[in-house]
Amino acid sequence: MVSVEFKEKRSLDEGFWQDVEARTKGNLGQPCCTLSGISFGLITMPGDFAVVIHGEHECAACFHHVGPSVDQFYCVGLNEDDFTSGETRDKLRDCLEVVAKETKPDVIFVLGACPVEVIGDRFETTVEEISQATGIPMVSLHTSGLKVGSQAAMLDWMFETLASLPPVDREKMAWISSEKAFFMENHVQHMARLPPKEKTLNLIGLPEWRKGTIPEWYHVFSEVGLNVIGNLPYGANLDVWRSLQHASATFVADRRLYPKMFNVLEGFGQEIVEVPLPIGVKQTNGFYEIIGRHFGLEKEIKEAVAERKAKAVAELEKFSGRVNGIHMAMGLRMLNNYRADQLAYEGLGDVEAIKEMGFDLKLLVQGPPEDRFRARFEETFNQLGCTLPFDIFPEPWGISKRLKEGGYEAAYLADHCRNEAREANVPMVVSRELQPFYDGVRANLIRMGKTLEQVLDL
Amino acid sequence: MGTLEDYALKSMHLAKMTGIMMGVHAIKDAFLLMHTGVGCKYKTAAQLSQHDWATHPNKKEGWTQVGDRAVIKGSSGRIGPFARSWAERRDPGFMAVVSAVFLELTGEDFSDTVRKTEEDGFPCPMAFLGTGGAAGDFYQGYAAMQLAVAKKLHWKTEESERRAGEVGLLGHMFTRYEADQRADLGQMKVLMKALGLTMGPCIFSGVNYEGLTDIGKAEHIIQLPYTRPVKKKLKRVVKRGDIPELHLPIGIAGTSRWLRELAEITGVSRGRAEAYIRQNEAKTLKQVSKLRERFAGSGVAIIADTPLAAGLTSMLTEFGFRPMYIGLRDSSLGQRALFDEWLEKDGCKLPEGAVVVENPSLKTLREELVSRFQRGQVRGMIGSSTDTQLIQQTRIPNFRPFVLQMGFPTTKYHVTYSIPTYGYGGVMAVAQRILDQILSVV
Repeated sequence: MVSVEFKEKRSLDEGFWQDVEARTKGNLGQPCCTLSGISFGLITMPGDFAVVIHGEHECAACFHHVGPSVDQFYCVGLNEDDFTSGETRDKLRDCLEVVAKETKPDVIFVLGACPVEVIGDRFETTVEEISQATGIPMVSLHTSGLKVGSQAAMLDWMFETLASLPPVDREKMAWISSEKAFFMENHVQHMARLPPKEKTLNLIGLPEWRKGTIPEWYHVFSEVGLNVIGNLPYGANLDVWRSLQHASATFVADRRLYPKMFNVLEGFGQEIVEVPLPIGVKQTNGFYEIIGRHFGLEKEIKEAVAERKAKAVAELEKFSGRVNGIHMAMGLRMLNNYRADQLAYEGLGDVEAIKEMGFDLKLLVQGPPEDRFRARFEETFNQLGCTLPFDIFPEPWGISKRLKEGGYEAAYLADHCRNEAREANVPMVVSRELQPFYDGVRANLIRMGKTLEQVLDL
Repeated sequence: MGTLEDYALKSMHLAKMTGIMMGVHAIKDAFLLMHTGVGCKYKTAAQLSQHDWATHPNKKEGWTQVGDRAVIKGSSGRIGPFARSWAERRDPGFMAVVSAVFLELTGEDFSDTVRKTEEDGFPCPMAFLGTGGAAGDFYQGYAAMQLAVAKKLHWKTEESERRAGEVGLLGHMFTRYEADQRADLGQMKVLMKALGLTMGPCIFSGVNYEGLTDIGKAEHIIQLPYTRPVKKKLKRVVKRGDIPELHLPIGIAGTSRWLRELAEITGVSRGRAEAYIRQNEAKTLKQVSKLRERFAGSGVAIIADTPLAAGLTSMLTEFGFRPMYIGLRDSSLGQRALFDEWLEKDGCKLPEGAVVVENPSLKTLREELVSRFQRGQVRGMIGSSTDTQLIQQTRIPNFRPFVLQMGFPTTKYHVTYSIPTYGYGGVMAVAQRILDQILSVV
């Protein structure tokens, strides 16, 4: 039972909310902490490097402690006395010296935390000093959650930083090494030669390939004489990032996301070419066509993919005939997981693939429901060529009601909506679970079919 | 000069804030308002969202959207409006407000703001929990949340109001709404029932706040080890003198000892306890003999917080395993001294050459575990998913260790039916889990 006193207080909050709204106008992206985001990225990247969190122990918990480099993370462990006195230098120096001396990494990344930013600690001076003294390159990043920015801006900053590291010599360059070790072992003949720069490319922001298997693009590009340094960021190790300049072109899903990194890559004389997210038949066609056209290998790539494509098209036709306009809700802006493929094209990267499966799609966008925000979303979607109908909802826990009221028969939502979808009795596929390329089409159809069998009647 | 170990990321390097959120998560209708930076949202939800498949933590937390501008202007004014807005939308039974170190540095009195917000007709109890000051770990956060809740409860009851034979519990670690946690609560109920007791409210146990409010009416109040960081303060709040502490009822000897100690605390006759113990010890021993007959002498590593590690070490020794490497992944639950004390009480001796380390780093763990697997000293390990990933990511030629996930977080072990760790039932369930894991790698 809400008291009169509470109601009165609540009504007095109105001025506060107007102020909040005024300042969040135009700020449509999910906010992001750069310490958290960059740590997430680095902890999953193999390589000979170390990361030092310049902050208190509490802040070393703002990311998953999962990944191949989890034991290369260190924390200075500052406390309140250090912050109030402003004396952080000695502890940082000691930590860097110990890490440098005992682990001798190729590079040390030093990431600042919020309290360090609050006290205006210019720790880069100390970092530079120790770097000079030890001869180990060190990169200072004033990360924190204070300057609330977008996930895309954080990724761009991280990618720019990694692409700007001292490059590895061409003779030692990493290429196709982003894959599993067996992949290398089975292709040693490729490793005995250096790939010609004009036939070498980088892939940025494509979906992650299933672990332990060879990606389709590797088969296709090998057949036509193209070489790939890596599909970044997924599976790329430090040496892959430091080899980026040995390619002649970079192909990226949504080039708007990484302006800073492209400044670096263009400085290497590279061409930056945008490709669709290769999910589903149509977008995979587009992906291969663009790359084929760029290298003058359209015919060769067409032949190389012919069999895969024919299979995917046949499977898709069979499936879409059965789906026949099932009403599906697709959630957008529900995640803050720093995934490049999730952020690409405002999360619309899977739309074409779902549409071609035969679903009648409507977008459910998590965000402020006021009209002025609606207009901004619409403008953004239109710019990306998406004219699908959409609804805006403010909080994920109300989504079961929306699913019921909207008469949806199926949903494509963030993983944390499972319970909501179950409550609404609407079968749900987790967003960005769809596999890329032609080889992924069959897996996607099986996945969709299994999940939706109660409505598909398959 | 510090050492690499001093600076390296620890097995349990989760924040006090993560522990506070765990406490909030463990009350079904509680809500956490984060007066923090945006990155703190990951401290509260990142691990938990993958650990608990039954209830997602994002439904139970909100953020006051603090940025650099708010720090400069003063941020405490944001707490009231956000708290009221979330209260209206989520109708919580309890609201905890947590702040981050960098905001506490500004010297604003958030505690006072929360107190005033609560006094202004707030529809549920509120508590402020800071994360600054002395360094705190995950367990200190969980304990702080227990203390915050305990302060809101009515403890001062007349003897006549108290429910005879009922036992109220503090200090239980409830981490998720999956069936393994329900099973552990169920095992404790069974053990109490065997002594003619009933289990009263348990802090925490996944019930609504309302379900905790009459814990003061329980005839007996006991605590499990996860109150240790706030034990003295809790004593002052509960006002029933020293609150008896029990270890975790894990393993055959551990469970029997738990029953004996509980019987003594509650005045149940020793004979009643012994009869039940005799019956169940024999049965349980027989059930796990298959494991013992086949795998006795196998070395094993255990990475867990002190109370859990002590229980598991005792239980695995009963299975015939040799716990050769034990990592105690906390800094506030008693560590080596408590570990040794509880093993001794269970009559358990560590094998020669066994090593016990406190608060190990992930770097040390990887090196130590890989080395022991390579030398054949250890055949498998038990640990949280943070620990077990170290082995799962490392190739050991011609060898596949068995790996069992236990503790927090366990992101690659989820449960659809009742699989306890506690009680005699837990002995059989863990034996089966270990057997499954060993057979999957041989």
